[in-house]
Amino acid sequence: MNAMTVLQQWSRERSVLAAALAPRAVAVALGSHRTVSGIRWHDAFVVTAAEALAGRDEVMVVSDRGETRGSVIACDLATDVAVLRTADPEPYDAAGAGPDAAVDPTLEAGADVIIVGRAPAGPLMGFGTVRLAGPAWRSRRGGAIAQRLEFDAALDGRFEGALVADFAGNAQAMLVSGPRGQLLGIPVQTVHRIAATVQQHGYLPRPYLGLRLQGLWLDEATRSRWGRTSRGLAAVAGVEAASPAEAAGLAPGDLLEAIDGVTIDDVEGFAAQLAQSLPGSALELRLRRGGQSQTVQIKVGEWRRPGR
Amino acid sequence: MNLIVQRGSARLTAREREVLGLVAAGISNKGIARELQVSPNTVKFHIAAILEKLDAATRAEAVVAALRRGELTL
Repeated sequence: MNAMTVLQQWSRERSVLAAALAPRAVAVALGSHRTVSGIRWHDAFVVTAAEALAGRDEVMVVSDRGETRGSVIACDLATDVAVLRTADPEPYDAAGAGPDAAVDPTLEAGADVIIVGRAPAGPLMGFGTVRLAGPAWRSRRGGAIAQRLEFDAALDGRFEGALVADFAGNAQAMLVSGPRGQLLGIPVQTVHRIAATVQQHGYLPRPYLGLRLQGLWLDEATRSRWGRTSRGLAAVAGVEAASPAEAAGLAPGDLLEAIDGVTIDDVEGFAAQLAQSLPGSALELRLRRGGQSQTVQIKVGEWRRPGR
Repeated sequence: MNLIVQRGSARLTAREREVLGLVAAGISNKGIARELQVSPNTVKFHIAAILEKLDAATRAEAVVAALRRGELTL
Protein backbone atom coordinates (compact mmCIF):
# COMPACT_ATOMS: atom_id res chain seq x y z
CA MET A 1 0.00 0.00 0.00
CA ASN A 2 1.33 3.37 -0.95
CA ALA A 3 1.72 6.02 1.69
CA MET A 4 -0.45 9.07 1.12
CA THR A 5 1.19 11.89 -0.76
CA VAL A 6 1.44 15.25 0.91
CA LEU A 7 -1.34 16.51 -1.36
CA GLN A 8 -3.64 13.64 -0.46
CA GLN A 9 -2.92 14.20 3.20
CA TRP A 10 -3.63 17.92 2.79
CA SER A 11 -6.92 17.22 1.05
CA ARG A 12 -7.91 14.64 3.67
CA GLU A 13 -7.24 17.08 6.52
CA ARG A 14 -9.30 19.77 4.85
CA SER A 15 -12.30 17.44 4.57
CA VAL A 16 -11.92 16.34 8.19
CA LEU A 17 -11.94 19.99 9.26
CA ALA A 18 -14.96 20.68 7.03
CA ALA A 19 -16.88 17.73 8.45
CA ALA A 20 -16.17 18.85 12.02
CA LEU A 21 -17.44 22.38 11.38
CA ALA A 22 -20.41 21.54 9.14
CA PRO A 23 -22.94 21.12 12.00
CA ARG A 24 -22.41 24.76 13.05
CA ALA A 25 -23.76 26.20 9.81
CA VAL A 26 -27.40 26.54 8.81
CA ALA A 27 -29.15 27.65 5.64
CA VAL A 28 -31.51 30.58 6.02
CA ALA A 29 -34.23 30.49 3.36
CA LEU A 30 -35.36 33.90 2.13
CA GLY A 31 -38.25 32.98 -0.11
CA SER A 32 -38.44 30.19 -2.64
CA HIS A 33 -35.08 30.51 -4.37
CA ARG A 34 -32.66 32.52 -2.32
CA THR A 35 -30.81 31.27 0.71
CA VAL A 36 -27.99 32.65 2.81
CA SER A 37 -26.09 30.98 5.63
CA GLY A 38 -26.15 31.38 9.36
CA ILE A 39 -24.20 30.16 12.39
CA ARG A 40 -25.62 28.21 15.31
CA TRP A 41 -24.45 30.39 18.14
CA HIS A 42 -25.81 29.14 21.42
CA ASP A 43 -28.97 27.34 22.57
CA ALA A 44 -31.62 27.81 19.91
CA PHE A 45 -30.02 31.04 18.64
CA VAL A 46 -28.62 31.46 15.14
CA VAL A 47 -26.77 34.52 13.83
CA THR A 48 -26.82 35.66 10.22
CA ALA A 49 -26.25 38.76 8.10
CA ALA A 50 -28.80 41.47 8.96
CA GLU A 51 -28.95 43.19 5.58
CA ALA A 52 -29.66 39.93 3.76
CA LEU A 53 -32.92 39.50 5.70
CA ALA A 54 -34.29 42.65 3.98
CA GLY A 55 -36.83 43.33 6.72
CA ARG A 56 -38.16 39.78 7.12
CA ASP A 57 -39.23 38.63 10.56
CA GLU A 58 -39.77 34.93 9.85
CA VAL A 59 -37.47 32.61 7.88
CA MET A 60 -36.95 28.88 7.49
CA VAL A 61 -33.72 27.56 8.95
CA VAL A 62 -32.22 24.32 7.64
CA SER A 63 -29.55 22.58 9.68
CA ASP A 64 -28.06 19.10 9.58
CA ARG A 65 -30.99 18.03 11.75
CA GLY A 66 -33.75 19.28 9.51
CA GLU A 67 -35.85 22.33 8.96
CA THR A 68 -37.25 24.66 11.63
CA ARG A 69 -38.87 28.06 11.73
CA GLY A 70 -36.65 30.98 12.73
CA SER A 71 -37.93 34.26 14.19
CA VAL A 72 -35.78 37.34 13.78
CA ILE A 73 -35.41 38.74 17.28
CA ALA A 74 -32.69 41.31 16.62
CA CYS A 75 -31.46 42.99 13.48
CA ASP A 76 -28.54 45.36 13.90
CA LEU A 77 -27.90 47.01 10.55
CA ALA A 78 -24.82 48.87 11.78
CA THR A 79 -22.82 45.73 12.52
CA ASP A 80 -24.81 43.56 10.04
CA VAL A 81 -25.55 41.05 12.79
CA ALA A 82 -29.04 39.54 13.06
CA VAL A 83 -30.07 37.07 15.74
CA LEU A 84 -32.74 34.43 15.06
CA ARG A 85 -34.44 32.15 17.51
CA THR A 86 -35.18 28.76 16.03
CA ALA A 87 -37.67 26.16 17.13
CA ASP A 88 -34.81 23.66 17.36
CA PRO A 89 -35.62 21.60 20.46
CA GLU A 90 -32.04 20.53 21.00
CA PRO A 91 -30.04 23.46 22.38
CA TYR A 92 -26.70 24.05 20.79
CA ASP A 93 -23.74 24.22 23.11
CA ALA A 94 -20.94 26.35 21.76
CA ALA A 95 -18.66 25.58 24.70
CA GLY A 96 -15.34 24.53 23.31
CA ALA A 97 -16.46 25.45 19.81
CA GLY A 98 -15.00 28.90 20.05
CA PRO A 99 -17.35 31.87 19.88
CA ASP A 100 -18.08 32.35 23.54
CA ALA A 101 -14.54 31.68 24.57
CA ALA A 102 -12.72 33.72 21.93
CA VAL A 103 -11.68 37.12 23.21
CA ASP A 104 -8.76 38.28 21.13
CA PRO A 105 -8.67 38.48 17.36
CA THR A 106 -6.16 35.92 16.22
CA LEU A 107 -6.35 36.05 12.43
CA GLU A 108 -3.43 37.57 10.60
CA ALA A 109 -3.06 38.62 6.99
CA GLY A 110 -2.07 35.69 4.82
CA ALA A 111 -3.59 33.04 7.08
CA ASP A 112 -5.78 30.36 5.49
CA VAL A 113 -9.39 30.12 6.56
CA ILE A 114 -12.25 27.73 5.96
CA ILE A 115 -15.66 29.23 5.23
CA VAL A 116 -18.56 27.10 6.33
CA GLY A 117 -22.09 27.74 5.13
CA ARG A 118 -25.09 25.64 4.23
CA ALA A 119 -27.51 25.32 1.37
CA PRO A 120 -30.75 23.38 1.75
CA ALA A 121 -29.08 20.55 -0.21
CA GLY A 122 -26.12 20.28 2.16
CA PRO A 123 -23.05 21.93 3.66
CA LEU A 124 -21.19 24.58 1.64
CA MET A 125 -17.44 24.75 2.06
CA GLY A 126 -15.00 27.32 0.79
CA PHE A 127 -11.37 28.07 1.45
CA GLY A 128 -9.78 31.47 1.42
CA THR A 129 -7.03 33.71 2.68
CA VAL A 130 -7.10 36.63 5.08
CA ARG A 131 -6.43 39.54 2.74
CA LEU A 132 -6.41 42.16 5.47
CA ALA A 133 -6.44 41.94 9.25
CA GLY A 134 -6.54 45.46 10.64
CA PRO A 135 -7.38 47.10 13.94
CA ALA A 136 -10.89 47.84 15.25
CA TRP A 137 -12.81 50.01 12.81
CA ARG A 138 -16.07 51.69 12.06
CA SER A 139 -17.74 50.23 9.01
CA ARG A 140 -19.44 52.30 6.31
CA ARG A 141 -22.64 51.04 7.85
CA GLY A 142 -21.78 52.97 11.02
CA GLY A 143 -21.03 49.95 13.22
CA ALA A 144 -18.17 49.57 15.68
CA ILE A 145 -16.36 46.36 14.63
CA ALA A 146 -13.70 44.75 16.81
CA GLN A 147 -11.29 44.04 13.96
CA ARG A 148 -11.18 44.81 10.25
CA LEU A 149 -11.13 41.51 8.35
CA GLU A 150 -11.17 41.08 4.58
CA PHE A 151 -10.93 37.76 2.80
CA ASP A 152 -9.87 36.53 -0.58
CA ALA A 153 -12.07 33.63 -1.66
CA ALA A 154 -14.31 32.55 -4.52
CA LEU A 155 -17.77 32.38 -2.94
CA ASP A 156 -21.35 32.98 -4.04
CA GLY A 157 -24.19 34.74 -2.23
CA ARG A 158 -25.21 31.60 -0.35
CA PHE A 159 -22.14 32.08 1.86
CA GLU A 160 -23.42 35.41 3.23
CA GLY A 161 -23.63 34.89 7.00
CA ALA A 162 -21.30 31.85 6.91
CA LEU A 163 -18.81 30.90 9.58
CA VAL A 164 -15.15 31.77 9.02
CA ALA A 165 -12.84 29.51 11.02
CA ASP A 166 -9.10 29.09 11.25
CA PHE A 167 -7.41 25.78 10.42
CA ALA A 168 -7.50 24.80 14.08
CA GLY A 169 -11.30 24.85 13.77
CA ASN A 170 -11.80 27.97 15.90
CA ALA A 171 -14.67 30.25 14.92
CA GLN A 172 -13.23 33.62 13.96
CA ALA A 173 -15.86 35.63 12.12
CA MET A 174 -19.14 35.78 10.26
CA LEU A 175 -18.79 36.42 6.54
CA VAL A 176 -20.71 39.39 5.11
CA SER A 177 -20.51 41.24 1.83
CA GLY A 178 -19.12 44.74 1.86
CA PRO A 179 -19.12 47.50 -0.73
CA ARG A 180 -17.88 46.59 -4.22
CA GLY A 181 -18.18 42.88 -3.58
CA GLN A 182 -15.61 42.80 -0.78
CA LEU A 183 -15.76 39.82 1.54
CA LEU A 184 -15.71 41.15 5.06
CA GLY A 185 -15.62 39.34 8.38
CA ILE A 186 -17.55 40.45 11.43
CA PRO A 187 -15.27 39.12 14.20
CA VAL A 188 -16.77 36.75 16.76
CA GLN A 189 -16.16 39.37 19.47
CA THR A 190 -18.58 41.75 17.74
CA VAL A 191 -21.12 39.02 16.98
CA HIS A 192 -20.87 37.95 20.61
CA ARG A 193 -21.45 41.52 21.87
CA ILE A 194 -24.77 41.60 20.03
CA ALA A 195 -25.77 37.96 20.69
CA ALA A 196 -25.00 38.15 24.42
CA THR A 197 -27.07 41.33 24.81
CA VAL A 198 -29.96 39.66 23.00
CA GLN A 199 -29.63 36.55 25.13
CA GLN A 200 -29.65 38.61 28.31
CA HIS A 201 -32.64 40.83 27.45
CA GLY A 202 -34.57 38.72 24.97
CA TYR A 203 -34.21 41.52 22.43
CA LEU A 204 -31.65 44.15 21.48
CA PRO A 205 -32.20 47.25 23.63
CA ARG A 206 -31.47 50.41 21.65
CA PRO A 207 -29.88 53.43 23.30
CA TYR A 208 -31.76 56.70 22.83
CA LEU A 209 -30.76 60.29 23.56
CA GLY A 210 -33.29 62.31 21.55
CA LEU A 211 -30.67 64.14 19.50
CA ARG A 212 -30.68 65.09 15.88
CA LEU A 213 -27.17 65.83 14.65
CA GLN A 214 -25.45 67.22 11.59
CA GLY A 215 -21.79 67.05 10.69
CA LEU A 216 -19.63 70.16 10.56
CA TRP A 217 -16.24 70.64 8.99
CA LEU A 218 -13.78 72.88 10.79
CA ASP A 219 -11.18 75.01 9.05
CA GLU A 220 -7.59 74.74 10.11
CA ALA A 221 -7.60 77.97 12.11
CA THR A 222 -10.56 76.83 14.21
CA ARG A 223 -9.09 73.39 14.66
CA SER A 224 -5.83 74.76 15.97
CA ARG A 225 -7.64 77.30 18.19
CA TRP A 226 -9.70 74.47 19.70
CA GLY A 227 -6.79 72.08 19.85
CA ARG A 228 -8.51 69.46 17.67
CA THR A 229 -6.77 67.22 15.20
CA SER A 230 -9.87 65.77 13.53
CA ARG A 231 -11.48 67.83 10.79
CA GLY A 232 -15.09 67.40 11.75
CA LEU A 233 -17.48 67.15 14.64
CA ALA A 234 -21.20 66.68 15.19
CA ALA A 235 -23.47 69.66 15.78
CA VAL A 236 -26.78 69.38 17.61
CA ALA A 237 -29.54 70.27 15.14
CA GLY A 238 -32.48 69.32 17.33
CA VAL A 239 -33.42 68.02 20.78
CA GLU A 240 -36.62 66.04 21.36
CA ALA A 241 -38.95 67.07 24.15
CA ALA A 242 -38.76 65.00 27.35
CA SER A 243 -35.65 63.18 26.10
CA PRO A 244 -32.39 62.37 27.92
CA ALA A 245 -30.71 65.06 25.80
CA GLU A 246 -33.17 67.67 26.99
CA ALA A 247 -32.74 66.54 30.60
CA ALA A 248 -28.98 66.96 30.21
CA GLY A 249 -29.52 70.53 29.00
CA LEU A 250 -28.30 69.99 25.43
CA ALA A 251 -29.45 72.60 22.95
CA PRO A 252 -29.31 73.17 19.20
CA GLY A 253 -25.96 74.65 18.26
CA ASP A 254 -23.95 72.63 20.79
CA LEU A 255 -20.93 71.06 19.13
CA LEU A 256 -20.17 67.52 20.29
CA GLU A 257 -16.46 66.91 20.55
CA ALA A 258 -16.15 63.63 22.44
CA ILE A 259 -18.24 60.89 23.99
CA ASP A 260 -16.71 59.09 26.98
CA GLY A 261 -13.31 60.43 26.00
CA VAL A 262 -13.55 59.19 22.40
CA THR A 263 -13.20 62.01 19.88
CA ILE A 264 -16.16 62.43 17.55
CA ASP A 265 -15.42 63.46 13.97
CA ASP A 266 -18.84 63.02 12.46
CA VAL A 267 -22.42 61.97 13.08
CA GLU A 268 -21.76 58.29 12.27
CA GLY A 269 -18.90 58.26 14.75
CA PHE A 270 -21.23 59.52 17.43
CA ALA A 271 -23.87 56.94 16.46
CA ALA A 272 -21.35 54.07 16.46
CA GLN A 273 -20.07 55.06 19.90
CA LEU A 274 -23.59 55.47 21.28
CA ALA A 275 -24.64 52.08 19.88
CA GLN A 276 -22.10 50.40 22.14
CA SER A 277 -23.70 51.75 25.30
CA LEU A 278 -26.69 50.22 27.03
CA PRO A 279 -29.85 52.02 28.13
CA GLY A 280 -29.54 53.05 31.75
CA SER A 281 -25.81 53.74 31.55
CA ALA A 282 -24.34 57.24 31.77
CA LEU A 283 -22.18 58.90 29.14
CA GLU A 284 -19.89 61.87 29.44
CA LEU A 285 -20.24 64.28 26.55
CA ARG A 286 -17.65 66.94 25.88
CA LEU A 287 -19.23 69.78 24.01
CA ARG A 288 -18.46 73.29 22.91
CA ARG A 289 -21.03 75.97 23.53
CA GLY A 290 -20.38 79.64 22.80
CA GLY A 291 -16.74 78.81 22.09
CA GLN A 292 -16.25 77.26 25.53
CA SER A 293 -15.58 73.57 26.06
CA GLN A 294 -17.60 71.88 28.80
CA THR A 295 -18.59 68.41 29.95
CA VAL A 296 -22.08 67.11 30.63
CA GLN A 297 -23.32 63.77 31.93
CA ILE A 298 -26.17 62.22 30.04
CA LYS A 299 -28.19 59.19 31.05
CA VAL A 300 -28.83 56.90 28.11
CA GLY A 301 -32.52 56.19 27.57
CA GLU A 302 -34.07 53.30 25.74
CA TRP A 303 -35.57 53.69 22.28
CA ARG A 304 -39.22 52.72 22.21
CA ARG A 305 -41.47 52.14 19.28
CA PRO A 306 -43.78 55.12 18.92
CA GLY A 307 -46.89 54.79 21.04
CA ARG A 308 -45.39 52.33 23.53
CA MET B 1 -34.97 73.06 -20.19
CA ASN B 2 -34.99 69.78 -18.36
CA LEU B 3 -35.47 69.64 -14.64
CA ILE B 4 -33.58 66.70 -13.26
CA VAL B 5 -33.97 65.64 -9.66
CA GLN B 6 -30.54 64.50 -8.63
CA ARG B 7 -30.35 61.13 -6.91
CA GLY B 8 -29.53 61.53 -3.26
CA SER B 9 -30.60 65.16 -3.04
CA ALA B 10 -34.36 65.08 -2.35
CA ARG B 11 -35.61 65.47 1.19
CA LEU B 12 -37.46 62.64 2.86
CA THR B 13 -41.13 63.09 3.62
CA ALA B 14 -42.29 62.89 7.24
CA ARG B 15 -43.65 59.40 6.54
CA GLU B 16 -40.37 58.26 5.03
CA ARG B 17 -38.47 59.57 8.05
CA GLU B 18 -40.84 57.62 10.26
CA VAL B 19 -40.30 54.43 8.24
CA LEU B 20 -36.53 54.86 8.21
CA GLY B 21 -36.49 55.47 11.97
CA LEU B 22 -38.12 52.07 12.44
CA VAL B 23 -35.77 50.43 9.89
CA ALA B 24 -32.81 51.88 11.84
CA ALA B 25 -34.16 50.29 15.01
CA GLY B 26 -34.18 46.89 13.31
CA ILE B 27 -37.97 46.58 13.05
CA SER B 28 -39.12 44.18 10.29
CA ASN B 29 -41.26 45.28 7.34
CA LYS B 30 -44.27 43.58 8.90
CA GLY B 31 -43.58 45.26 12.25
CA ILE B 32 -43.37 48.64 10.52
CA ALA B 33 -46.60 47.89 8.64
CA ARG B 34 -48.37 47.09 11.93
CA GLU B 35 -46.95 50.18 13.58
CA LEU B 36 -48.07 52.52 10.80
CA GLN B 37 -51.25 50.58 9.99
CA VAL B 38 -50.37 50.16 6.33
CA SER B 39 -49.68 47.07 4.23
CA PRO B 40 -46.21 45.47 4.06
CA ASN B 41 -46.16 46.37 0.36
CA THR B 42 -46.61 50.04 1.22
CA VAL B 43 -43.65 49.73 3.59
CA LYS B 44 -41.53 48.19 0.81
CA PHE B 45 -42.64 51.00 -1.49
CA HIS B 46 -41.53 53.62 1.07
CA ILE B 47 -38.20 51.85 1.58
CA ALA B 48 -37.54 51.77 -2.18
CA ALA B 49 -38.29 55.51 -2.36
CA ILE B 50 -35.99 56.18 0.60
CA LEU B 51 -33.10 54.23 -0.97
CA GLU B 52 -33.59 56.18 -4.20
CA LYS B 53 -33.70 59.57 -2.50
CA LEU B 54 -30.65 58.86 -0.36
CA ASP B 55 -28.77 57.16 -3.21
CA ALA B 56 -28.26 54.13 -0.98
CA ALA B 57 -27.80 50.50 -2.04
CA THR B 58 -28.69 49.01 1.32
CA ARG B 59 -30.84 49.80 4.33
CA ALA B 60 -27.75 50.40 6.45
CA GLU B 61 -26.41 52.92 3.93
CA ALA B 62 -29.76 54.73 3.92
CA VAL B 63 -29.71 54.96 7.71
CA VAL B 64 -26.18 56.39 7.72
CA ALA B 65 -27.03 58.88 4.93
CA ALA B 66 -30.14 60.07 6.80
CA LEU B 67 -28.21 60.39 10.08
CA ARG B 68 -25.63 62.53 8.32
CA ARG B 69 -28.32 64.79 6.93
CA GLY B 70 -29.87 65.23 10.36
CA GLU B 71 -33.06 63.43 9.32
CA LEU B 72 -32.96 60.75 12.02
CA THR B 73 -32.98 61.07 15.78
CA LEU B 74 -30.42 59.23 17.91
